[in-house]
Amino acid sequence: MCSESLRVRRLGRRRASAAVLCSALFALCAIELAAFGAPFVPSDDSQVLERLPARTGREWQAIASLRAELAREPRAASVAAELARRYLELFRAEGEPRLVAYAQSALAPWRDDRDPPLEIAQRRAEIAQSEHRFDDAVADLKKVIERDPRSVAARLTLASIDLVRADYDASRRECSRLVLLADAAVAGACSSAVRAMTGEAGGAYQYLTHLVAEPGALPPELRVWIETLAAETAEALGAWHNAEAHYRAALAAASAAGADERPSVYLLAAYADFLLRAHRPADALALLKDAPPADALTLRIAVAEKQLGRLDAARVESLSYRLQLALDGLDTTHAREAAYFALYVLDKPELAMKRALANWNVQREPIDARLVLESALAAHRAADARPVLEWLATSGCEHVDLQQLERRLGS
Amino acid sequence: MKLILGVLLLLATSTALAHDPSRSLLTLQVERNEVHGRLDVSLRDLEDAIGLDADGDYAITWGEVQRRRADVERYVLQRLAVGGEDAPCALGASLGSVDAHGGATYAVLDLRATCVAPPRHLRVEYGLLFDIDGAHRSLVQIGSGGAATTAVLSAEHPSIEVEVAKLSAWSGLGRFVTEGVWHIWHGYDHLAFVLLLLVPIVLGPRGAKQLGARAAVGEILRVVTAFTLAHSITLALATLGLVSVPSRVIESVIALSVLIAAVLNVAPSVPRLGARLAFCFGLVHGLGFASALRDLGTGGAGMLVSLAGFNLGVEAGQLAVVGTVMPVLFAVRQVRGWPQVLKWSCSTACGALAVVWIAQRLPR
Repeated sequence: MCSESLRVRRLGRRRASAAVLCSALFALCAIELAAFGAPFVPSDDSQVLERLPARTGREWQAIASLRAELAREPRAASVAAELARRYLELFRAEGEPRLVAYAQSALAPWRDDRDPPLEIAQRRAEIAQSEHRFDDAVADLKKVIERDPRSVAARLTLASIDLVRADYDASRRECSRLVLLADAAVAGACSSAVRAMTGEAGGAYQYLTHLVAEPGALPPELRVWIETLAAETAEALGAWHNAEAHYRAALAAASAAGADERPSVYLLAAYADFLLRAHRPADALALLKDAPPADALTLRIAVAEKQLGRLDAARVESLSYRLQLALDGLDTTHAREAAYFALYVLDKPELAMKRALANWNVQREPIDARLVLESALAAHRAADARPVLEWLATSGCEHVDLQQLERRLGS
Repeated sequence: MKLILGVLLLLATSTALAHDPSRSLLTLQVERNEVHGRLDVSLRDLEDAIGLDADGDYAITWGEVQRRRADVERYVLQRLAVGGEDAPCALGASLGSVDAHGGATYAVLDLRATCVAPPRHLRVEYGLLFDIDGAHRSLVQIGSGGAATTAVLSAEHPSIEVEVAKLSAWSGLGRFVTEGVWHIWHGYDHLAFVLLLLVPIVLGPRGAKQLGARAAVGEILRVVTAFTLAHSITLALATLGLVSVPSRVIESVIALSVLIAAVLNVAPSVPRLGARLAFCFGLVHGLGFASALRDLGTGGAGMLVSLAGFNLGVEAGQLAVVGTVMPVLFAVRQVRGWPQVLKWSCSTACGALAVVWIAQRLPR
């Protein structure tokens, strides 16, 4: 390296900087050309350019008949709400954002309606929730609750939004109202989710395991939810073995729910993260083998491949394109995915730090806290993690992984 | 049922996904009163908007696209407008090819617009797909005379107006200058290294004759120039993708450079390497700047602009540091006994910090 320095000095500073500038310009031209791909004319009419997700099966038949009904009568609120509900249910399993858009267009006649029918307001809130427009969602849910104080769906959705936003008192309040309205298991699981985040993880875990202990006592959908909560709580407590058993039980319950039922993207992503943290990339890949092509899951596949030392460059490129706006900070809905991608796949901790902090302003679940803490560690920016460290201190959240990260940041 | 749905949605709360985003790419080039460019719309989006899969086999073929060609063009022309100050330009669109972006196939429409007069302000109004998908976005690039600006259009902001004469590749420069300054001031490893380069020059090696003030300033200039030249070279090379080193390795070597500089400062009977040391390690620090710059993204500004701006910012930040530290060092060297104390404490502190950094950064 040092002989190079002498050579450059001999070259003379002006000539050297001119050379740098020229090579920079040359490379710039090459990059500009490469960035915008070359369009092509397919040689054959029968060449398949794009495969659409197959829309067959019972769900899609039901959707088709609802759509036909809605086309005849676009302002039929109950039809529109049911159609939106079906789209949202599919979205949960496939993670395809277009499905949210379809749900939204079913509700189009009520888009600016300040006081829509209750079922429309409920769906509109769920759509806003899935796009992280939490204020809009809460406004609609409060309207629903005001007019129908017995609405379990509205209270449960509100409790879950409060929980994600780390407003634990509000979440606990909504859960406690459910005691008189819903099944004891639903109300209990709702409160346990809050307790797990506020320093009572041990008690919450005991209660959740008690709920799932009786075989057949719960409808499968409810079992999936409670097993997932139990898995996450066990993970927080550092009981890895139990956590895995609950994740597996949640998957089993999801397939027991019906032939068309699939595990949610959320469940697959949470279990995959668990496996990846335990450095079990092969197990994670096996879990995601037949998973839908949701970005949250593609991200986990990329991390698994990275751990195995065979990261697929095309996968990274495709994720970069899809998450481009989120990486640039122009799309905050996917800030969590952008931070995850930047931190674990791209090895860009500074970028991850920015996106993780932006995401922390919107969502405050353990994964969101982890993204901030790990980015701060990797970017050597302990000071920037302060919002999360403060949250850990004030919420009383017990989470062995997060607390370990906290200690590493402090040292 | 209602109840179960609520329960299930609890789980779905935070899985908003960017999978296959609904997005189009629009590039326009203004040349006098002609505007030409292209619009790439994904086949998935066109399927949702007007339906391409004629035989319903969940696969879109080139034949199916061609058969709906006129409908696609009409759909685009009804929802896209390009105009000058007072009159819209006559826009034509023709679909003749496809392209792939992020694993999805896009229909490519060639656009050609003729305006009444060369537009001083170009206005683009975009309305594709927003009625179907409120999350649809269009990434727009408008260029003229080798310069370009970019924007993202959404249902909330469906139009953009650009002053053609002011289109300048240098418009994003300021942001990168600030980022460059910010980076050097917050990158304590770079600060420590620069400080360690300056300390022995002013405070002198132990026992040896100190440099006179003039000679010391000259030496500082040489060292700083060498450091600057070196890190500018690697910053450019790495940013342009001609050199690529894993960031963990770079970070570790940067920390090592601080340790070495600290040790050399206090080691007895080691000749001062000055400019050569600054140049060699400057190459590595430049790679570190490049990874910081990469993390920022170009944010729509050109690669060269971001590079130039960031480099300028780094140099300005560095100059400010040198300008602040130098007078302090010269003041200290007037006081008997202090130079050695300061040199030792400064080198020890930086060296200790470097050891911590190395421990943190070593690949696990």
